[in-house]
Amino acid sequence: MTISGLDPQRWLDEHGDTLYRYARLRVGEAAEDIVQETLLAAWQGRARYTGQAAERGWLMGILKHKVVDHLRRHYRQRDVEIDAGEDGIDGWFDASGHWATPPGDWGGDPRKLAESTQFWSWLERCMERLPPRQKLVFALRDLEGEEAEVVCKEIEVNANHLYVLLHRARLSLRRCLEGQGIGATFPEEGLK
Amino acid sequence: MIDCRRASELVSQSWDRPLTRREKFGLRFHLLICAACRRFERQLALMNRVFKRGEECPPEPMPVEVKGRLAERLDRAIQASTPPQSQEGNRPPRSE
Repeated sequence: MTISGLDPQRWLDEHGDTLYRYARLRVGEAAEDIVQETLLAAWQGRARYTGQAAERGWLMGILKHKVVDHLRRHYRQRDVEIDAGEDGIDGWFDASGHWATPPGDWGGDPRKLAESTQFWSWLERCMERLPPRQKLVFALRDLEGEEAEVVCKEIEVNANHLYVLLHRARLSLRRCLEGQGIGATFPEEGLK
Repeated sequence: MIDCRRASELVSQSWDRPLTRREKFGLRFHLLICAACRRFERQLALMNRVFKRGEECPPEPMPVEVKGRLAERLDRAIQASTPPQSQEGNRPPRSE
């Protein structure tokens, strides 16, 4: 079954954990299917793999496509109505527009955060609590780094609506991460 | 004078679109006097920097049962599909 060393079972052994982790954060439970689709697509398209890119980078490229595809499909299927009350954000500012609970001090080194398993599992947990639409735009825009205009086109929302969704998602996530204890675990540098 | 709610909107939107001069001015003034919104601004900037490093996120071993299932499903799918390189030569002649 092995063709010039390109073998899905070996990919699964060598890159499976990385691919799975990446997908899990973005598509949750569907990660297993997405990783399978990715490895199969890679196997079917193996003739196009020139060997110039690192194998992992090549697989990650395919995975990213599958993830974005899945997010888009999921969004269309759900056809979720925007529900302003759903996330509770309206209660996070008082009547005079001030923070009801002001953001705490947390900062630290982005590299340390990125390398910490803790951070990503918090993020996964916090993302799961987002309403589906917010989760989708957050995953596309902030995690995948897609341009705002591209996201608008992909999921057919106008720019203002996208900004609202992103703002709410970011507010929810920062609040949730803070609740998980990010401030205490990764304190702002220079304040200690 | 904008409030924290509006300021937080502008901080967020500054990642997605260029703010107008007026918005920038209003936001800058607000940030000057509001530590809470400054912290929000820093938090978003930090998250953004961490997400850019998303691929450095340490892989967590996938659960054994997931890996087992994946290995099995891959095997089946690959056996079910004809390897393309064997189609060359033994393809039946096209009947017109």
